Amino acid sequence: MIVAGRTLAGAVSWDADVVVVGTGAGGAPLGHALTQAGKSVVFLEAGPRVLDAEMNQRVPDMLARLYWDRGARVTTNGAFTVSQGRCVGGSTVHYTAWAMRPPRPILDHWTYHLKLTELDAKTIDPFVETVEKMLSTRPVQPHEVNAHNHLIERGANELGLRGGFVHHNRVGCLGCGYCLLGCAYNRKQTAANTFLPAAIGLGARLVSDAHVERVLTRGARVEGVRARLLDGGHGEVGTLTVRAPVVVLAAGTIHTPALLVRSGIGDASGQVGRNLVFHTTTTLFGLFDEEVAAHRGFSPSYVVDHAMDLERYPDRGYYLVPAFAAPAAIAPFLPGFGDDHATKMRAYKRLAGLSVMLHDASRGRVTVAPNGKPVIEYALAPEDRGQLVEGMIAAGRLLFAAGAKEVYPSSPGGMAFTSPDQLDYLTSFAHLENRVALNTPHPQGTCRMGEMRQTSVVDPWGRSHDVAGLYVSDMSVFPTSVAVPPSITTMALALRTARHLLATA
Amino acid sequence: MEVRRRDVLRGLVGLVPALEVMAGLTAVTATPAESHAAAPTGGEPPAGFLSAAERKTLAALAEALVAPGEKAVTGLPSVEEAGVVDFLDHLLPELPEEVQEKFPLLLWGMEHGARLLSFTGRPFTRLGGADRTAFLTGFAESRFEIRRLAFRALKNLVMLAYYQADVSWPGIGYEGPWIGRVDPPQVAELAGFEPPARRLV
Repeated sequence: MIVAGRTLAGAVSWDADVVVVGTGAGGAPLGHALTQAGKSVVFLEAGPRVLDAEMNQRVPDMLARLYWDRGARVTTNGAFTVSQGRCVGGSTVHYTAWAMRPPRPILDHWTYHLKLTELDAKTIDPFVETVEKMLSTRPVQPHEVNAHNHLIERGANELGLRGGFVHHNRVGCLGCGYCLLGCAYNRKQTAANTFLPAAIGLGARLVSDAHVERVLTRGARVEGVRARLLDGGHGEVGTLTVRAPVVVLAAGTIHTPALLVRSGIGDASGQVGRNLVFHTTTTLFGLFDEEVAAHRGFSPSYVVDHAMDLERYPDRGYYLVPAFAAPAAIAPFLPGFGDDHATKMRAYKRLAGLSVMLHDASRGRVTVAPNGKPVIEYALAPEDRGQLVEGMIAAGRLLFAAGAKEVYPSSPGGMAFTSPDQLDYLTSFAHLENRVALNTPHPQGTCRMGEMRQTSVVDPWGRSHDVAGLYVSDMSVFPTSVAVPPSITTMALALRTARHLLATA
Repeated sequence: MEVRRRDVLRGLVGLVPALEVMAGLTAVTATPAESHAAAPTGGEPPAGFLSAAERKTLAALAEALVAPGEKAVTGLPSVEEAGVVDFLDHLLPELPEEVQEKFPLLLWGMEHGARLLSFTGRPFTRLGGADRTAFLTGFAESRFEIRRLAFRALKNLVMLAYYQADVSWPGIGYEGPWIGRVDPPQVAELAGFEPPARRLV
């Protein structure tokens, strides 16, 4: 059963075995596994249920429907936008569907250096395989690679940089190019068209437009949650209380800690909201003589990973990732304004985008404002600033090697490079914040797992150190950046948490 | 009107929280509030969120930021044709309260800050093209983060408003969304794709 919050007006109370807060990569697989095992599961989602027919491929409309704060969530310094899903299916609805397994060196780092129990590849692999089967994960096929990604491949080969074609989660992709605005054709495999319908089919209940305000407790044990039922706009139509002996928070790296703080629980360690880590991303654009049409087809299908050596450096590195979008999403990031900017936009179909996606070592924090909303603090540590500049220079060189006549960073003011040697100018930036556009699609780590209750929020299975019956199942449990797109890892850990929960609860 | 540099800078600092949100507004809702008036058809502007003076300032800023030029030459419509001011006028009531409160102040700061910072004594709307460009460049490339942030906030909003408009697309060669234009299932059939077995929730 799926219902919208507005259809449950008044003060409603339900009972369940398990209530799952969030329907994205952390909540959906876990809820499905528990439902399969015969548990009565209720999913609560703050955002709306958006059907295929509502995906209209228009930037303003879809970001308003699918993203928190209309895609405009920012850090306190105004420098980073934080992209997170707010709809049934969570961020998987607007992800690029680039599928990567948790890197073995990262799992080894978590297992052997951070001493986390049973997180080695041998233990995790079966969960990963289950996830990949559900998402139809497969290698990109040659006919699926667009001109944009071929250009990047050409540039990498020219420079001798290591790269490769990725795996992704799509079935029969049509190549429309609007993955970041939700798939109107139901080809991209997300939590919303895999785990959730399977769970619903087995009897799980899902309420959309239900924003959980508090976790309810009695003593040191959870009793359930209370949610505000939203009318789809700014209004509220009632409240829903779900009483359950097990509460799973899968609201994401920003909202899970905020919910714990609002509820006044789970923070004996003082670590809730701390250890926030991004995959800081910035994009450079190359202007080519030939048409690229980077907005069609899907990206990324080819990724450059020459700067990733996780065996030697488990806490640093970056990827170079092809990225592009519809004009309204590109125009703000092209440098300059006036005639200069208009000229660049008139060459829209001859532009290619290449993002630097950092494996950050910086640490930020999520706190809660007096009005209950999360506040996100993040700044690049010097080593990450250096890495990002290095990545920007590498991206610029690659674009030139691929044939670009000019290269542009995403700076607010006008800036254009006409030869590779000019790229070293980027090293003169003392700070990158508000010099270039910075974004993170993958905030992680605000409720990190650990063996020691003094230094972590949950144990290695996602179970709260402080409150019985309380679990966390999303990217907030990651003890460090996972270095790769986190959806597969998040889903695999969710299945692992589910198994543990069934064995112990 | 007497405007002091101190007042302009103090005003900008007070705008910081709202500017941060605006700077992040790379994408926002296009859905107009139902209470808003229809787009102008000439004569008096509609009774929307912004005053007539604020609309005039915003239009001047947008013209300078987008610089579409002569449509016959560039293929780009004017800011008015693209409905930039109307789009933002409809959007503002949907944004957080701090933005609603501070956006008029940002416009005021840009309009009257130009009297001091352009060294002409004239407000932004009365500056010539070159002076407008120089004034905005001063913000874009300022060593003060607050001025760069103000520029980003304005630029992001204006560029979003202009390039989300269908009329801006022919000039840049963008075909627009497939939805309502082409029939992708037919494309899939031709390509031999199998439709997915699972359906969205």
